[in-house]
Amino acid sequence: MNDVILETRSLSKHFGGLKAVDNVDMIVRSGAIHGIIGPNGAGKTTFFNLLTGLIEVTSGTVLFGGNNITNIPPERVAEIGMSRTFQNIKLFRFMTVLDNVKVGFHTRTRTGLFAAVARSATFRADEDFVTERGLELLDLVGLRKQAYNQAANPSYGTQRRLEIARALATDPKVLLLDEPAAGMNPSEKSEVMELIRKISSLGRTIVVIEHDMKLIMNLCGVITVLNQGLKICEGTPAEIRNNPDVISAYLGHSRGA
Amino acid sequence: MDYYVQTLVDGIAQGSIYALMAIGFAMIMGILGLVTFTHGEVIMVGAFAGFYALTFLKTGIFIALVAGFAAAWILGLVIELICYRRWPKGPDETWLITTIGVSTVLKSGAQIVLGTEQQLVPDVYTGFWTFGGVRILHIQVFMLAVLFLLSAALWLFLKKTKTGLELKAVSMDKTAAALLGVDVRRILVVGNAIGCALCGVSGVLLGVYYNSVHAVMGGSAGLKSFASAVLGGLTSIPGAAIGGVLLGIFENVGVAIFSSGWRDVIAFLILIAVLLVRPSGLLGRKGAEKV
Repeated sequence: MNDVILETRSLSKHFGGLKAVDNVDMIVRSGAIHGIIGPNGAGKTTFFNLLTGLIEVTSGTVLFGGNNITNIPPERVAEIGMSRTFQNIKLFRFMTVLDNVKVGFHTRTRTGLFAAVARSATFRADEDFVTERGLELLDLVGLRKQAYNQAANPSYGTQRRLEIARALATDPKVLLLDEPAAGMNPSEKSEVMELIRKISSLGRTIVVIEHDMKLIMNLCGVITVLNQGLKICEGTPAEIRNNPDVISAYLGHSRGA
Repeated sequence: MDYYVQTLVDGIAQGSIYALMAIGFAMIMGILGLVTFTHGEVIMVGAFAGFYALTFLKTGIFIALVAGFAAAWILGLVIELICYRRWPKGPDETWLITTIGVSTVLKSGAQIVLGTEQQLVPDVYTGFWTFGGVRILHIQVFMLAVLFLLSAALWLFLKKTKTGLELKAVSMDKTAAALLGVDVRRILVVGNAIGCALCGVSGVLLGVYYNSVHAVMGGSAGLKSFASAVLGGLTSIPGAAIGGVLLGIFENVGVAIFSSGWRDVIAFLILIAVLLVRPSGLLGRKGAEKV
């Protein structure tokens, strides 16, 4: 078995009386494509927000590569090697597609204002590096042709792919995808599936939240199921499909059961 | 005919001051995601810094502009410390209220320390050119040149530097920027300081153009910069520049047609009219997230 890269121990988030995430233990192994599913309001996005420090943990811990990163400041998430996309797309809408990706490189280049004014050698080398790598990433997600378009203009599917490219710019070990195929048509969905496989084959660990069962079942080796904040089961796609708890969470309890 | 051309010239000159302060304002609003109230006082402090440089240190106008820039920059750092940094977790409105407080302290403090009388600012560039019946003052051309120079510098900074790209990123989405490793706190400090510094320079020009500075000048100046920025689209920097110049022209046309008492009335009536037709401003971003 591979090493554990991301782990939560009894992770909880309570909003007043609402237990959005409740005592969730999860282990993500290095190199895996790990799925998270659950009905609406199950706490999936809240779970991602806890991992990336966007909201404060009520109790429990988050471990990344064995280090405790509970309540990490969002600014440090990229630095330790984690990156994410958002369910409600959060692109820099009034920048070009390429500039969106360039922002993500900033944890990795280190030229300051004075170097830029003087157009020093390091600055130009950094600029070239960033542009070149940015274009490569756009190539990977199939957006190279649109590099100099406004980010707000492309279609929904394009925006989702751009978000993935931008997240990859920080060179993450773990990529968290929040509903990467939401709002896409079937052909776009299969493209995204291919893209996720490709990213995984490049050696990155992926955790993906998705409602599309076909996509999740085809893609993921392990799936965690959340319902009303609780982890109700975890296992391979086949195990999940036949688990009575999962079936009742999605379809409701049968009468008298 | 000459009369109207003259009005236009004066309007553009005055508008260049508004444009500069509006650019600063738009910058700060873009970064913070909300309106601030310290703006007018920053302009006032910049104006006084320029005034002291000109009168007591007997420096030239360039050093006076630098003094206004520097004083406002430092004030911007102080404002960030007091108004924003201390209250990171509160609701957005917290920052709104803290800036009102600091603005009041600055205005009242200035009246105590600097006095309540108008101070006479010495003339700079008294020459002029005449074209037929139209007179263009050297100072007017100078002001326009300052506007162009600083706008170009800002444009280059935003376009070419890493910090510039980060500033844009933070103004569009703070959360996404933070998760990509952008130090949002630092960007906030830098963006706020740059915006304030531009206002400081506009304050110096305001003092020089009207030959006067006084402790409560910030009130109307802040309002004009706000109006210009709204006209241009609130957080759009080119929009703010255009909005500023237009406001200057509107005001002078209003004065030419009616009387000087109508200056602000005309300007704000036109502002209301524009917003009725185009609520997002001239170059406003439709559907942009305004935190």
